[in-house]
Amino acid sequence: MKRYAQQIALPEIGISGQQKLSQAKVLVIGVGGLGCPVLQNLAAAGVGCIGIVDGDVVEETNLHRQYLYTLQDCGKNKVEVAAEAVLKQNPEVKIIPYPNYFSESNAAEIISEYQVIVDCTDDIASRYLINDVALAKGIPMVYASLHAFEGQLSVFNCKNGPSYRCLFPESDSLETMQNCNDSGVLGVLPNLLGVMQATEVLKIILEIGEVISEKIMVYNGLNNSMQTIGFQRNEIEIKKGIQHGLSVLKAEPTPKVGSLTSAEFFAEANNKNNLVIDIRESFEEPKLDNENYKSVPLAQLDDFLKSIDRNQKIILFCQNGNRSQLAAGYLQKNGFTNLFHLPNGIEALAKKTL
Amino acid sequence: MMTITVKYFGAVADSTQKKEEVFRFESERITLNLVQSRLEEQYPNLKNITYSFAVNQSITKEDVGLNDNDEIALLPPFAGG
Repeated sequence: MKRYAQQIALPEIGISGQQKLSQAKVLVIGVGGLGCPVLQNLAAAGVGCIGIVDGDVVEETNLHRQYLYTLQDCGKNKVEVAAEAVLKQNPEVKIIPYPNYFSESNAAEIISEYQVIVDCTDDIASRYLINDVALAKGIPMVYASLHAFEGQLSVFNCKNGPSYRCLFPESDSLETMQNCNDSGVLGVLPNLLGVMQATEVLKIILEIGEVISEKIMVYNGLNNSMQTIGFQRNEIEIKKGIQHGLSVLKAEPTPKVGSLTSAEFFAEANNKNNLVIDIRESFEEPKLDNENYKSVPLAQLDDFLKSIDRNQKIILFCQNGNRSQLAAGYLQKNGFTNLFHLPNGIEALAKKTL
Repeated sequence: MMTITVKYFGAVADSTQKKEEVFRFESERITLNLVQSRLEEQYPNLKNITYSFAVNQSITKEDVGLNDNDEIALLPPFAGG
């Protein structure tokens, strides 16, 4: 705690604020011009867990604005170099590197644990994706972006505030827009905007001050102008974002139905925490010599499982594995996540052991 | 006579080659669409840029009526990071 003494001394923060920071989980998407200063500042402030997502490698042309990297790092994964550099500055925080670009296929898995997302990407499509999953998950998105000497800053989806789509509805022609690599950037600009993003993140975690929601700030470094423009929720845009976000979040790979060997089956069948179900008809033989199972013929299974927790570990078995496979597939579609069956059924078991 | 100040940001300012200008209209009844038509006539490239309109520092999606000395902004999303 000694390293944070100067910020704990602020009455708005104090020990309890510092604890909020140390328990916070923040996801930084992109560790380039914006992401580097965001990461440096959040880690230095003692934000307990920071996930960093980027599939890019360090290039020499990054070095004029991305101060976490050195010439020796060129060619290496940004997230790995960044994690190492930041931990050197503050070993008390936890950095979780994701060495891939943020995409529809990994979004659900990556964002699951975080309470704030910081958008440090450099393309518009990623911003819609981040907005939509943040919106669907109900967590704020701290946004900044750059164009030459100008920068934009806002926080979307904060306490039912408006989203990125409410400000900029999606348009086909957006894909033709330049990213900063094409249009050029002066190193100080992303650093300035990144520090502002980090400030918003800290305020959100600490629940102090006024978060820049329902407005966007546009800064111009050439003439020192700072313009703030207000905007409101647009329910049609919100709905569009939520629908897309939910479709992405639900697209996570469905857990597979596990297959058990005979030995595994006996171990699992004896575990009192498991729900072991014989889905054969009552006349089918042989019966399993075990007290820890329920006999629920296939036709009654649906009714029987109505009151069962969807995450309960369930072991299904039948005569030769066909019906248990069928039943497991059906349960999986109905949201059960922890399913196992005996692939060759009780007959195979009987041959070996009885 | 109505005086309307128009501010440009990002790629819009790249197209107009200025950050701000003042337009005067003879009519007393002008709307945002009318100003947009005039801007697109003067800067044809604006049709290729996506941007949102703000009137007096507030984003609007509607074709609102304008008052003398109103300030309009053309704000495109920035992409860089």
